[in-house]
Amino acid sequence: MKDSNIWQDRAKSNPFIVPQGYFESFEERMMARIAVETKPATKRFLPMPMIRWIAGVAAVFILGFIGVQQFYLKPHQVLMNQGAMYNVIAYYAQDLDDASLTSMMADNEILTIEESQDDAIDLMEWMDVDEMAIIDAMINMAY
Amino acid sequence: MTDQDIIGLYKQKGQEEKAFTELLRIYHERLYWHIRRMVTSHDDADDVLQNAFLKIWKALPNFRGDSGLFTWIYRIATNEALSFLNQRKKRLALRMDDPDQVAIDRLEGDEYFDGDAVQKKLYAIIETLPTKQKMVFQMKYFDEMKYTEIAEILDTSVGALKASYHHATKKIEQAFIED
Repeated sequence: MKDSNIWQDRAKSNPFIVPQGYFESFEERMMARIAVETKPATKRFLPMPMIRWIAGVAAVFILGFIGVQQFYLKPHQVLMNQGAMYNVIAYYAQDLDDASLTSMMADNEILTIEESQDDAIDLMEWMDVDEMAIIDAMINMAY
Repeated sequence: MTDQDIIGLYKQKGQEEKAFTELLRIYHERLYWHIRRMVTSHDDADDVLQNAFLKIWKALPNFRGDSGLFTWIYRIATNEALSFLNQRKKRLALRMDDPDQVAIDRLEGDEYFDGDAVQKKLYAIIETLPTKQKMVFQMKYFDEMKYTEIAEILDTSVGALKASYHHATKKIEQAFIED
């Protein structure tokens, strides 16, 4: 009968080894990892020229949109989706002409609403949300 | 530095990292071997150990002292290793591999395993034990912990632990007889 306790003679000796210097360097590596994993989210500090540029583009966009809405869009108002907003950003980046811009905005028409004062207010609220999306998109592009 | 000293240092403003470094210095090797015997591979043990200490770092602000500091960090490390082993078991089940053979192959292919044939077989057998049984066996046999300490870490009764340990040793003995 085989000695079922043969394993007991060998069990307590450690057959595992580690790479050289593993334990000595562990603390340093662990603290480095903690520093990386628990790094707080960096605040975005935009340089002033960038802030002025964003504000300028946003102002031109708002004025331009109102103007385009009054003189180029159809009587049914159009709610622009985020994709259309980014196209407007591309407009300023690529120097597209007004006709191309109008066409791009028309292609992104997703909804039509009846003209009404309340809808105009809704539209402005929608604009505020998308305006922030523009700024976010610009920030993401910058960083 | 005792566990009490580490906690005391940690609670001082601006000393958290220093306290944690002390905790690392004192316990990292012991926890490593505890994890290594469970997962066998050095690379896996290193991953599990780092993940455990990361969790310990994040959880330290909430340490209430209901248990001793070592018991608490040992429990976190054990749970981390258990999670790893359960995931490994699922992957093996999906691939329909023979777990005994996989365990032996892993040891044979491991450059950081320097055991003889008996040790290779022993660890391959241990690897096939049910997870909790393996845990109890290793903590009792290799770490030489008391049943009361193991009970606190695994949140199990001493009676259940004794039964589990008995079954584990019988299985190992039987495996060597059948060989």
